[in-house]
Amino acid sequence: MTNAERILLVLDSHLDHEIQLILYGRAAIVLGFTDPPAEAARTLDVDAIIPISQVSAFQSDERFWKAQEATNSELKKYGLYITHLFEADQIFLRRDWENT
Amino acid sequence: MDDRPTLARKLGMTEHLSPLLYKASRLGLGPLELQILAVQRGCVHYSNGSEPTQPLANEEDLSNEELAIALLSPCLPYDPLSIRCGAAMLSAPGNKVPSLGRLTVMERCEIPVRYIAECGHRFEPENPFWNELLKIVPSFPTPSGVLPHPTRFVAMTGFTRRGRELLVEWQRPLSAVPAAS
Repeated sequence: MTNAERILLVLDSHLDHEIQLILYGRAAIVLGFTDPPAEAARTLDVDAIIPISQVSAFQSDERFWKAQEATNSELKKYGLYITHLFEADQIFLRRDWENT
Repeated sequence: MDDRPTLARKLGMTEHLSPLLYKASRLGLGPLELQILAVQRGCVHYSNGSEPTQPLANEEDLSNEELAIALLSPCLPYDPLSIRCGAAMLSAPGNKVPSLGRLTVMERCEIPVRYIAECGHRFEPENPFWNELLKIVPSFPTPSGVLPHPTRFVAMTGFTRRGRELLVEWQRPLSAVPAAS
């Protein structure tokens, strides 16, 4: 199991409702492609993009933040975490990235 | 809505949705309250005398390590006082270097934490706490003039009962030096 898988499985175990995370970075590469570079599998975290239209709902989703906190607490002993969550306008994306 | 630029912008970074600041927010702690909490936990050097005596949060809910990193978050509005309080809380007695290192990376605080650790090492070269922190916090290019001058993290005295001499004391809550872990 890769670090990215482990992080997301632990997060999933702490969630009590459905959420949508758009992954990017090395976690996305290791989970989304066959034969990913070994370097990608060594990532210690999962980065995610929050579409602008969902930022407000995300911010007020207390149960998500508690699950995220519990995930990081559980994974502390492995050095793994999920904290790098970016609003879509804080990273470089194609203009129509949500529709492609 | 606070329209001041964030520390991140000043440093040429973007902001993320900081889970630590959300946690602080759930506890009722915004940028100003984080500074007040630092004073309540012993950063009396930065007191303006108006802080309430009732603690805004206890250490079980927000540890000193979390408070330090929250004060240094690049997602906070840029405020040199917040950075100075964060520098003091960073070296609070009992803080553990591995925990600080993990929080630093998780909250993208490498630039201010590294800078403060370098300043701390300069003023307290014998304190292993700074060396250990420097070993685990990576270095990134840092624009000049954004983070407070190193002398803003210390108290300096130029004259004592012994006469003219320069005494420099790193500002931290309480008076003890944190143990290296």
